[in-house]
Amino acid sequence: MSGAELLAITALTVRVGAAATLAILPFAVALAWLLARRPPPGESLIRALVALPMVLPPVAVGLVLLWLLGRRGPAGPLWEALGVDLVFTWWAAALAAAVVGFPLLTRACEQAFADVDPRYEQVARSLGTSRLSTFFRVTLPLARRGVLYGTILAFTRRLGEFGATTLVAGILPGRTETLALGIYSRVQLGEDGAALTLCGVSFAIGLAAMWAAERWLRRESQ
Amino acid sequence: MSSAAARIRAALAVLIAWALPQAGAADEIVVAGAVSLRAPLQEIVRRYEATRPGVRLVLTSGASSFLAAQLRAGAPIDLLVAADTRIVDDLVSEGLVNASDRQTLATNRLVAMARPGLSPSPTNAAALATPGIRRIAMPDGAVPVGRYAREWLARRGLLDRLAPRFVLTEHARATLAAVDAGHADVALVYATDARLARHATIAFEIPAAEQPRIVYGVALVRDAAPEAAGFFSWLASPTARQILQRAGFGAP
Amino acid sequence: MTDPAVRIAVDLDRGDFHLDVDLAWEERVVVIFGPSGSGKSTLLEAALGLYPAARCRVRLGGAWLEDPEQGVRVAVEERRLGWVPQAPTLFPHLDVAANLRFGLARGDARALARAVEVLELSDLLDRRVDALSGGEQQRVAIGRALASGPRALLLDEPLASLDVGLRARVLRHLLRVRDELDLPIVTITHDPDEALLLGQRVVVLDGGREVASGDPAEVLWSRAVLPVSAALGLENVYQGSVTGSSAGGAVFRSDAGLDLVLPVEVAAGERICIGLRSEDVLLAADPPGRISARNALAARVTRCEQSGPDVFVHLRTDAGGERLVARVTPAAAQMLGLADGSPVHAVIKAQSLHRIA
Repeated sequence: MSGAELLAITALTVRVGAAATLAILPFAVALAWLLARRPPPGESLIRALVALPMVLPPVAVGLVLLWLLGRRGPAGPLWEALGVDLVFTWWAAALAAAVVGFPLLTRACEQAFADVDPRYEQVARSLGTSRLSTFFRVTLPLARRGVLYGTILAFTRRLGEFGATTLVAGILPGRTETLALGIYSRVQLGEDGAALTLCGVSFAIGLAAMWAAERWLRRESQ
Repeated sequence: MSSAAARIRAALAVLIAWALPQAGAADEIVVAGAVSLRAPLQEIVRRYEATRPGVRLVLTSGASSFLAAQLRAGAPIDLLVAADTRIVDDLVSEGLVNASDRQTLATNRLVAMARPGLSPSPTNAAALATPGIRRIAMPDGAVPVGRYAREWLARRGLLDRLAPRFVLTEHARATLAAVDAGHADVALVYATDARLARHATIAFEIPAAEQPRIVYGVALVRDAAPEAAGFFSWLASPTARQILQRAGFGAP
Repeated sequence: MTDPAVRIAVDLDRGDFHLDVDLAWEERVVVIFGPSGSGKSTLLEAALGLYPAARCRVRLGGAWLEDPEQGVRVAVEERRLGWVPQAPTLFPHLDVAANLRFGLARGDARALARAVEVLELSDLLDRRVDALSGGEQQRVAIGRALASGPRALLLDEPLASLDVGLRARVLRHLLRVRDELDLPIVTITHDPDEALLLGQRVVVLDGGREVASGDPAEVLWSRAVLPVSAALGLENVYQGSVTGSSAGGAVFRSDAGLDLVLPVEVAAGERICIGLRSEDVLLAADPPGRISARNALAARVTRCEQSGPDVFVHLRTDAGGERLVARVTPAAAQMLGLADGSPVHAVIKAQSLHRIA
């Protein structure tokens, strides 16, 4: 396997993971805040639904996504009308990673918000700050560490997403071949050396990300 | 704003800009080829790109049946090279490929391989039924080489007897990898793949009279990229044929 | 009927605790007094609007903030109330200056500058919150509330979390805030010294209900409230200035005009607060002759109250008309023939006078 190929696969994987993480971050944060501060009625049901992608086999999630995104699914005519074809594209891979990683991120953020003493928010409001402004000026900064840690965790986890991604994005070199998919196909081809190299890269990325997270974590608590 | 927050914002902006996909790779031709053709197709693609600067081809390899399924599900495949012309037939009848946009590419043969250290090594079909042969590797029946293997065993009246010993693999190359690593005792593989084995050896060749008819077909998918037609035609060129022949494939 | 200056009525059910009060007053500086668990903090928080489920009527700083009858319910962030909760609750991710400026959008630079000056915060501005002592944190919290330009200041036990030394210092600053800024103040305390010192009026809560309300000295030493307050502190508290020195001590004149000799070294002209325990006041029916105590005051009994094993004798000094409470045994009271209006002499050792601010 050439250096260029390795770089391409790695870059694609990181890009997919980053895009997926950034895409769901606002939703996860908003939902997490809601669950932590003002649980809506039907809270248990919402939590169960959110946890679903984490609990189901990733392939099952991929199948659902394939059905929703494909031409033959219920939204098929919509995609046709829009001239949009997401399946087997980079977008599909990112979407699969996003969906599968959403529960993890939401849960981490919720914990981070729950750890913030509501008293701070009350004081901020008494000083004339609106709820939204309080969230950005007080709650989020105080929950920063937990949210960041959860984000890195989810990102790293997402790098390894395989089940949903295979179905919905296939393994197209240069477009949707992530590290996980690349390892799998090379093992099938008997290219063990290349597969191990990709494993090594996965390992390195995972280690670097978690080390950065731990370092961040420790620095904040000092 | 503190400098730390400003730095984070800047990093985020850079990250977002980079994470978004690059502007369309619309002038790339996606070729999906049977995994047994992987090496020669890679070389063919390289040669073609050399003669046509500015044209880029992306090659994806796998079980022909799986590739066809992806095509049906909407994968952006421009050209499909299947290890079984019947797969191309199906695509034509489904309207995904025009009847005029197909051609045969090459032929192949089946051989029986034994894992390193298998003793006694079987020397004919009947010998496959001995108790010492516990695992026979092959893909499921939808994958061409799996289909061919079952066809031959059925003709020899051994299919039902040996079926319980099948160990299913993903595709032809995975089958080779399995017997090469010793995970299976015997595998029925393409002759072209057998040459690539590192440790496993050919146990015996299937007689010509019993060989299933293995023909590779090429399909130019309807609404494919314009340049794909050029590549489709080029596959019939002497250069391409030569590459295939060197790899051990028979002429169509 | 014109509206009172301040009206706080709260009807709030919190599980096993029910706060049900209807308070009104005209004074600018009011102390809410009561034992812990009596609902004092809840009262303030309800006035801030932090309990949407409560039924309240709130009028503070010249405006109706909440009144179901008028259909008024101002949002928490619009009420412009400066709140200093029990624990300072400074934002840990911001430094002192940023904390002070937090409510600045609503307040103005002048309010901020004034707060910094009155509370002496200029040295602390670029410090991190976790590098501050308890007293400093408390002052910054008060400054933060003031800097937001509030219409009223709400303090929840501002001195409770401080040790004795820090308490005196922060108390000094609180008094400056009270005297130099013309702002309505509602402050909570369970300490009778503070109540006596800070308030123009005291409202006593117990078990979620109003028990007494009125002049601080009268209320705190009334029969109903005495058991609670007497156990805790100094019954006699005076503010005043040092006018001179006298043989190793200072001469103190209270604002009302009472002169006392203190065993402290204080520069003349300085304003201080002193306190005295009722049990440290000796009563004599006749003018004492030569005695060791440095202070002997002529006074008249205003009333006597029996509480438990003691009798609390309320006095008014002839000089200055200052209030004084003495604690004696019932037998002693009888022996001296104490009755309303009786003239007595109160004898106080200098050592019994403690400087509290």
